[in-house]
Parts: sequence; structure tokens; C-alpha cells
Amino acid sequence: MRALGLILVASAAALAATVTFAQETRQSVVFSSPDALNVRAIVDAQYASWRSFNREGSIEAALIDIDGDRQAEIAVRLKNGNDCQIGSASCRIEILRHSNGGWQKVLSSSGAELSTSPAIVGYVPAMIDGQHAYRFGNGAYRLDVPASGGKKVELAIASEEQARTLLTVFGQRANRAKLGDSDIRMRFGREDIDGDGESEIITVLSGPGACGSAIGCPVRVLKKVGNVHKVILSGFTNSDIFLLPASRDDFRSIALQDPRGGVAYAWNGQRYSIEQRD
Amino acid sequence: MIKRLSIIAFLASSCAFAAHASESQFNAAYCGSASCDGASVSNASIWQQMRMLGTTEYLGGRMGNTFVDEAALLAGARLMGVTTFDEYLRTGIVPEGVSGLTSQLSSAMGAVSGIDTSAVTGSYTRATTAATASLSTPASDSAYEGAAPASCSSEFAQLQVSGSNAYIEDMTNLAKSEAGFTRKDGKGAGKSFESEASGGGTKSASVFGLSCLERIMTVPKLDVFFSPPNLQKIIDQASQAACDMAMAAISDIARPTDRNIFDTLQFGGFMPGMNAAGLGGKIASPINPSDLLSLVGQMTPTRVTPNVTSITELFGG
Repeated sequence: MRALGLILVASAAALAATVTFAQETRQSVVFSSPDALNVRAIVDAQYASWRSFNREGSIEAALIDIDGDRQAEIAVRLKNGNDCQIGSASCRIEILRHSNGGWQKVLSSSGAELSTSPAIVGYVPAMIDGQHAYRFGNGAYRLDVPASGGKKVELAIASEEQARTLLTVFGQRANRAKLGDSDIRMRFGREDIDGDGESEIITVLSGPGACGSAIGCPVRVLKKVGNVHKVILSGFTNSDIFLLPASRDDFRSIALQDPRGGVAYAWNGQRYSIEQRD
Repeated sequence: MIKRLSIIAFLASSCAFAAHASESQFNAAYCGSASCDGASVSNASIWQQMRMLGTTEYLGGRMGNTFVDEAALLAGARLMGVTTFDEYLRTGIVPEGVSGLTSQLSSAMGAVSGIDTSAVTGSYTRATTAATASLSTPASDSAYEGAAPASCSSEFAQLQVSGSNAYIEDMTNLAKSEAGFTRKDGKGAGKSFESEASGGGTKSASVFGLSCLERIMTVPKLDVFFSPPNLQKIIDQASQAACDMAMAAISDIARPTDRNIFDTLQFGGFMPGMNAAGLGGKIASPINPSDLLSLVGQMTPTRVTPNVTSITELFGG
């Protein structure tokens, strides 16, 4: 038993050392002109549409090896303006990987800085702005919520009266389907996600019929605006909801878990929208 | 007497076994094709909710190659949740951020279509050869609401497809018109960008020859079908003649939909979001912006915003 304890302690220490090592060895990806890297043709072909919408914008590129096969992947930074600011949505960072005869987008997120850590096994972990950690799985990078320092939102079961009130924010269909039936559960939590001293309401509808195996259960985040509670996030989760350390305009980013992994939502000035796209 | 009771008991147990078997068959087929939510999910409860929502009106239709019977509807609802699935069928809108959902849906529904789930649903709508051409006389084991929607007839399918094409063309014309979007360089409605240099030589020159809205529709992976609820915002933006703002609005409100699933004329023309009741006779004729506005007015789903007093009372400050 004592030996087992020692092994566990040693394992934990090794894991902590590994994490520290990964943090210390995280390297920022340096972007430059696609011409300098001889990938102009690829980038132009992949982002022709983006260019047509963003005539003032520019594209930078970097070569990285995310899977250790010594074949380069292309990281790109799409700039709408002159500069990329950490914590703003002005730049988009994407990673293109060549597979199945073409270039596939395996990461797409908003941010200014991309960094990678050495891979312990498999693909290198990626991080955007030093805040959002991404891990490769099922063909693409997905948000790694624990590694991103997410704080779990505690949810309580809503009373019947609370559930009836909250049900209205899930739309008329939820009402018409009588989702207040006994099989259906409404949970809610309260968090001050924008630091204004007033709690927002985070609510999840769950139970058979409300949730889908491919998308999870409906989530709404409500913020009191003037005289009404406004829905500022509409999404799905199949497990927990996390507040992330990153924020925009003081609104903390929010991570929802769908059946394939974490999905980061960031404030866009009016409501939350998905930061990372497949 | 005892013998008769034994026979009745045997028949009853056989029926129960058959019912159980068909639901097991459904669960096995569903879980073999989709991310499974477990056998404990109550198909009966889900079916009941679909009946309340009216989702069952889509029985007898076709989605791609899949005949929409009770099992297919159940699979769709289990994959997306009842309300989300119902919304998808009516509007064509899939939840934001879930890629590949329509292909998962197609796979799951296809895997179970044809399985008799009447023990759970109370009816079994059979696919027949006639059903493909015209489902005006549906073949359903029970008549209660197995009636196929008008959208299943080939004539209606033709109307739907031409309606959707006209719809997109109308929006494009709107974009080119003075009332719609203008190009940033002020070159007017002509396809003047086609003569521009294409830079690296690998990008598609045609993209630059398109109007703002045409480009939106041409963008790979931004496969937008303009569903009526989104039009109000688009037209609001059009009135401001600001393509860039419209782009932002569209990317904000338009969620990816699978155009392939709309292009189903050869399969009977089922198109989520386009039904007889919603569009009436207007789909075959050109739609002008004022019609669109009235349509938007009719079809925009209303979201009830709870009264702040009640929420504050219930949940505190």
C-alpha cells in the first residue's frame, strides 16, 4: 500500500514536472510573409474567399510540424487590421494540414499569438494567446478546457416555478413540447461573468428529448439588460460549463463541452459567439 | 378455457416480445450509426413530444435517400434533441458550431428507416414505390397522423426546388439593385471584377466577378441557404447599402446548412424549412422584397423574454 502511495506521488510529481516543462518550453510561432516561406500559392488558393471579403487585410504564415512527421503544416494569421491584439477578435489563427489529397483546416481560432509545446505523445498541443489550450483529436484541434484553466460553473436543480420561468428562454417549441415533464430537468447557476457586480444566469435544459446525442443539451446564458433578461449565449453542452480566464470587454470566455470536446465562446460586443470553428 | 387463456397469454407475450425486439432493433441500428445516447432513452417519451410539436407531419417525406418514417424521426430527434430537430425540419437551421451534423443525421436516419417502431409510436408508415412519386395516398398502418405532407409529391418537389432557386436569385438581384448592396468600389452591378488580376494565379477569378451576395453563397464552407427568419436582418443591412456590414450580419446570423440536403428533387424534394403551409403558392413565382418582408414577419419565431421582475424574484439579483 505504501509502495502504491509512493508510486502515485511520484507519478503526480512527474506529471507536474511535465506540465511545468511544457509551459517553460512553449514556443511562440513566428509569422512572416507567405512569400518568404514559398507557400504563397497555397495560402492564396485556400484564402481566396477571405481575401475577397477583406481587401484591406493581410495574411501571414509560418511552417510548423504538429505531428512530428517532418512534413510541414502551415499556420496562418489572418489580419483584418494593421495589428493583432491579444484578447481581441481582430485576428484569426488557423492551422492547415495536408491530408486526403488536400489542405484541411485543423485549427481555427481568434487571437494574436500561437504557441506550441513539445508533444509528449502524438500531436503538439497548441495555445492561443497563452490562454486557450488546444489538443488534437479526431482530426482537429479541440479546446482543452482543463488545460485552459476553466472554472466549472456549479449548477443547481431549478424548482418547478423556476423551471417554468426559465423554460421560456428556450423558445416556444420547448414550451409546446411540455418539457416541464418529470423526465426533463432544468438546472441553473449564477456567475458574474462580466464583473459588473451582478450575476448572470446560466441555465441548462436536460433529459430525454431536450438533448441530442450529437450536440448535447441546450444552454442559455441570461444577462439583465435594462428591464429584461436577454439571452447572450445560446449553445449546447453534454457535460459541464466552464468560465475561462480569457475575457473580452470584461466578459469572460465560456467553454461548453460537446460530444467531441470543448467549444470556446467569446464575447463579440453584443453576445457570445463561437470563437473556435471546425 | 385454460387452453384458450394460455393461447391468449402466449400471443400477448409474443406481441410484447416482438415490440421489445423492434425497439431493440431500432436502438441497435441507431447506436451503430450515431453517437449513442444509451438504450435507456425513452423513445415513447420522445415520440410523444414530437407529436405535441407536430414534427410528425413530416412522416412520409424523404430526406435525400431516406424515407422519413417513425424510426427515422425518432433517430433525428435522438441525435439533435426534439426541439432542435423540429426547428431544423422547419427552418433548415442547424446549431452553430456543430460540423458534420447533417451527415450524421442522414446516416442515423438512413440506418433506422424501415424499422417498425409501431410498438412505441403507434403507427408504422411504410415506404412504397408510389410514395416516392406521390404521397398523397400514404400507406400508413394507422391513419391518425401518418398523412404525408404535400411536400412529398413530385410536382410540389419541383415547385420547391424552383422556389428555392428563385429565392436565391431574388436575393442576388436584390443585392445588385439600388435597394440592395452596393460594391465598395462603386463599379455598379456589372461583373467588373472579372477583369482584375488574380494575384497568385491560383485563386478563383470568378469569386471576384460576383456580387456581394453571390460571393457569400459561393464561399466554400459558408454554405448559406437564406431561411426566411434571417432575411429581415439581411434586408435591414441592404437598406444601408453596406456590404461589409451585411457580411458581418450574415456571418452572425446564418448558420451552416447543408445545401445538398435541399437539392433533393430527384428524391422527392423534401426540403427542411420549405413546406406548403409556410410558403403557400408564392414559391413558384418571383419573390419581391416586400413579399419577403411580409414572409419574414409571418415566420420569424418569437422568443419570449421573461419579465425581469419574475426572474429577479426567482433567482435573486
